[in-house]
Amino acid sequence: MSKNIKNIMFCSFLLTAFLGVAQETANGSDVNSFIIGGGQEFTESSVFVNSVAILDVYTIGGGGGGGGTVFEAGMPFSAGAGAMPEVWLNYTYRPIDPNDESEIFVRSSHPIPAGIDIEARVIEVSSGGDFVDRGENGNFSIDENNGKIVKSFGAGYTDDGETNGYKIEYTFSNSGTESLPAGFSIIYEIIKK
Amino acid sequence: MKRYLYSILFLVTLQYANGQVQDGTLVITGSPSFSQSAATQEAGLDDSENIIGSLDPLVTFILNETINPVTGDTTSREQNCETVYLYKVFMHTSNMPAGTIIKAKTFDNSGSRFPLVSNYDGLPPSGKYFGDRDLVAETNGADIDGFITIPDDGTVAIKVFEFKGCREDIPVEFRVTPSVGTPSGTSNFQVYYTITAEPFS
Repeated sequence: MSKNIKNIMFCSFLLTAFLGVAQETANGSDVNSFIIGGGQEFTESSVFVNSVAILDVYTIGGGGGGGGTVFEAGMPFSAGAGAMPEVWLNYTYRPIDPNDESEIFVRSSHPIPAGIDIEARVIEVSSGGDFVDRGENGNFSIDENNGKIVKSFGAGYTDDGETNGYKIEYTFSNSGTESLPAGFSIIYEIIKK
Repeated sequence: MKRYLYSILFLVTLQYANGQVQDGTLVITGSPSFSQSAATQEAGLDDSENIIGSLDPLVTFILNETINPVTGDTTSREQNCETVYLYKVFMHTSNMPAGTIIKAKTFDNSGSRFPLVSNYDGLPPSGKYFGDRDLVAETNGADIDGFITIPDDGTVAIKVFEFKGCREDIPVEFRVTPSVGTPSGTSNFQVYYTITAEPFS
């Protein structure tokens, strides 16, 4: 008997505890909830935000990113093939129109000399931020024309810095003796579809 | 038999007096707008800097003037406000743009009593059935800085504050947190204030 009472007391304590935390609400859509002695009014408000489409790159092991320069200016590539630095691509995107979509492209600042081939692909995608994986996983050669590295996407953000967004791998091969021209760089651009 | 009738009448009258709550008028002065000056400059970050409302709207609730249907006498708003009720203010929005959070708050005892001084205030503590005519900001579910998230759903309008007796010019602070999901440009929405009255029982 006394155990029952104890149980009941415990239950009421729990209930009270929950009541204490719960926020009080009212049904503002039902006139009966406020018609007696109360009332309801509303005002018109507005919110304005800018559209934003920005991206940023961080190189692993290399100097700071940000400018989009992956290769050291005039960096000579004498022979052989090898992996280029790995790059993390971040973006923040709020389209001008909610239905708009954008894509991210890469291109070289200068024509690629004969005998040199630079290929790019996405090898890893982070799970942070708020975006859908639309990365291009197959290798494609980079030249002065825009190559799509991220397929169409809507509003989203990847989180900032290394290990966030898309990890891009560049593969470099040089069958000749040419080197990349001075000031050579890779340009990233976010473009509305 | 007659004795019973009197008792019943007395009880009915008591019920009636208890159940009746006088009508008042809710007035909201001013409406804030929220305008972002610049989007984030750091790629990768969500664009979620808080936007403070352009102004704090003022909430006023005062009992209406009444006219006695028999004598034709007028009872002023001040006189009617001698009867103290507990008022709770609930808020919700409608058409809030996607990806956007709006929060509101006020401060304890913000605004002013109406009338500023009343006979009720002069009663001994035991006579003030509702205690002092004060305003209490809701703290349940509030952020550390006192802001309460307002739902975009009328069926669950959330309590932001409560006060006893008529009160005027209660400032309500608003703040909007956008995200990249907030449509760019201007989005219009409505802010609803629902006030409920409870008599002392």
